[in-house]
Amino acid sequence: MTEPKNFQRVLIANRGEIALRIQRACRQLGLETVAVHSEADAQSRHVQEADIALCIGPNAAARSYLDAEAIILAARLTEAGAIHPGYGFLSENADFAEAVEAAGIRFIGPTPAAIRLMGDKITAKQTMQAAGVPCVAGSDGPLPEDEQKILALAEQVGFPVIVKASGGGGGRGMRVVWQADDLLKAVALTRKEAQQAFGNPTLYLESFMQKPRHIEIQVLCDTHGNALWLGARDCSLQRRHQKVLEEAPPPGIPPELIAKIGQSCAQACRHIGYRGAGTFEFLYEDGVFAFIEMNTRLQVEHPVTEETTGLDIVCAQIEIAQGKPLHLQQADVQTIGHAIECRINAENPFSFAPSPGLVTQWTLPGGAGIRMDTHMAQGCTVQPYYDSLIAKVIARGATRTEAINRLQVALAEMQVEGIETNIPLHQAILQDTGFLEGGVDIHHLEHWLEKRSHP
Amino acid sequence: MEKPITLPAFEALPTPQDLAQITHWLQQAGLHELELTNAQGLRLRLVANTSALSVASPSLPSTAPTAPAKPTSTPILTPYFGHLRLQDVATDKAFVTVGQTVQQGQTVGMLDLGSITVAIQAPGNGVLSSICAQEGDLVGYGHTIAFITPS
Repeated sequence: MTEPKNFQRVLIANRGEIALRIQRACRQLGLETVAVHSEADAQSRHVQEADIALCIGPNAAARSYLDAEAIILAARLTEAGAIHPGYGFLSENADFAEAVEAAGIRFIGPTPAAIRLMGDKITAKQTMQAAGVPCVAGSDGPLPEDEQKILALAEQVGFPVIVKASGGGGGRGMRVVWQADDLLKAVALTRKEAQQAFGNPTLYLESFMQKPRHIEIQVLCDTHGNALWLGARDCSLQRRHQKVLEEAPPPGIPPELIAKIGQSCAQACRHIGYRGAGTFEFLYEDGVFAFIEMNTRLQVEHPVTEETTGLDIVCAQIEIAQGKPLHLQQADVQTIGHAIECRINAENPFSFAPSPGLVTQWTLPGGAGIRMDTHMAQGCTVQPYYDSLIAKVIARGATRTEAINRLQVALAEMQVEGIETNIPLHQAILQDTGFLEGGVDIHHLEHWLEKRSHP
Repeated sequence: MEKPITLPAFEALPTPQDLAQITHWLQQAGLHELELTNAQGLRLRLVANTSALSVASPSLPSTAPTAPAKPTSTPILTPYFGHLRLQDVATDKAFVTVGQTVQQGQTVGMLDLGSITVAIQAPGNGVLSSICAQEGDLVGYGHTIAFITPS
């Protein structure tokens, strides 16, 4: 095996807090950075602080952060040896990863083949089953055309079932069916939607778990056969399939159960020759884990894993891309204490309408166990063109209770004016009995939102 | 509706107060529009809206004080990013020089991206008043490289 050519300069193909997070990791490793950006982000912090900043297009993401050709041209122009895609945008685009490597540039992420394999939810599930990762009972492949065969499959799995698009993911392109009478109509409708949304009408079917939790395993794999799992996260607090608050470790799940599932994930990574950071997402109900999908990238919520393991996942991603071996074994990975992350969005805490605009006051919390991942500052403008995530408040404590207490104090300390934020929503969640007990299911937050009184 | 009204003297343009009064009468009379002409050839057309009033005088300069239109500089912006080339490699001469007249669409420079080059074109007709970037600069999208004074 030839040693991959090492790089000295990394192009960051993203924006906002994660671009700044990646820039910090590069600096710590002694690497230079290139910030490519849209016109709207010219004043943003990581752009201002980058070694080289280059505006590659107008505000529309399609002509800036999603313009694969422009990003690769910019990397060549600035002699960047590697591209970090962050999360979202082009991070799980196999064609982009392939084009980057074809241009002789290192893609800080998995191989294009691994991204493609996991991007198709049917092949992902088949691969995981073959590797010994527990999956939800289902059609184990594409749904047939024959209506009687579809009905027979569903009866065999048992109602309720969920019909999903193979090209979907992240909560898109799925429909729950409670009884046989509604199945064929639902299949036809989902097929049509899948064709329109993903250009792929292939569907599959799974048993629908009614009150599951969302539990995920972080993995990290080098190119020397070392695959580690870094504990689990609980991301059950979601609204419209968007995570709101995440924590590690998941409360109330026996560590030996998590260790077992973690080991199967690491084993699956060795099986497929996975490279870099990744996340296995599971539904968990009544002591049973069921694989749903794998994210082949860095996640928004990676800090809760960093806070409980003491590892730097972004630095590790970069070092793996440099061909370096991980300097630790599974036995060296210990999770200590508890960490919780609140995603702070520029939005109305009741209507969830985005709230872009000028930030006239920005006072951040601090103190023991508090970490802030943010690109904002007083006088900054929250742009209306992109995601509304403006900060992540992460609290670590020796216990879950200590982490919650620190988070409550931190959120009360944080002062933001000029725009609306969902800080009041987080403060309310941190006082919710269900949350305080721990272990709520993925529908808990939406049910809670329906019941709460409006101001 | 039969109430006789006296229009103000119309030797010069009526004052805004007079215009408001006339328009008010128009609305009271249920009329939509009124046009007045005087001996000097001044023509005033008033249009009354039911909700708001609007005054239009198409044959006269606007009553509102407006600054005289003065020629402003128009920036020449880059349509992409790349290394700036102000010299034409084919002729080894500058694409344009300060003081030169340029036509809309005329190439004033190139963006060199190694494998491809992208032309930078003048956004309108005018005289090149200044160049504010250097040969070989790495410039981003939407960067101002020069100004023209429109002709």
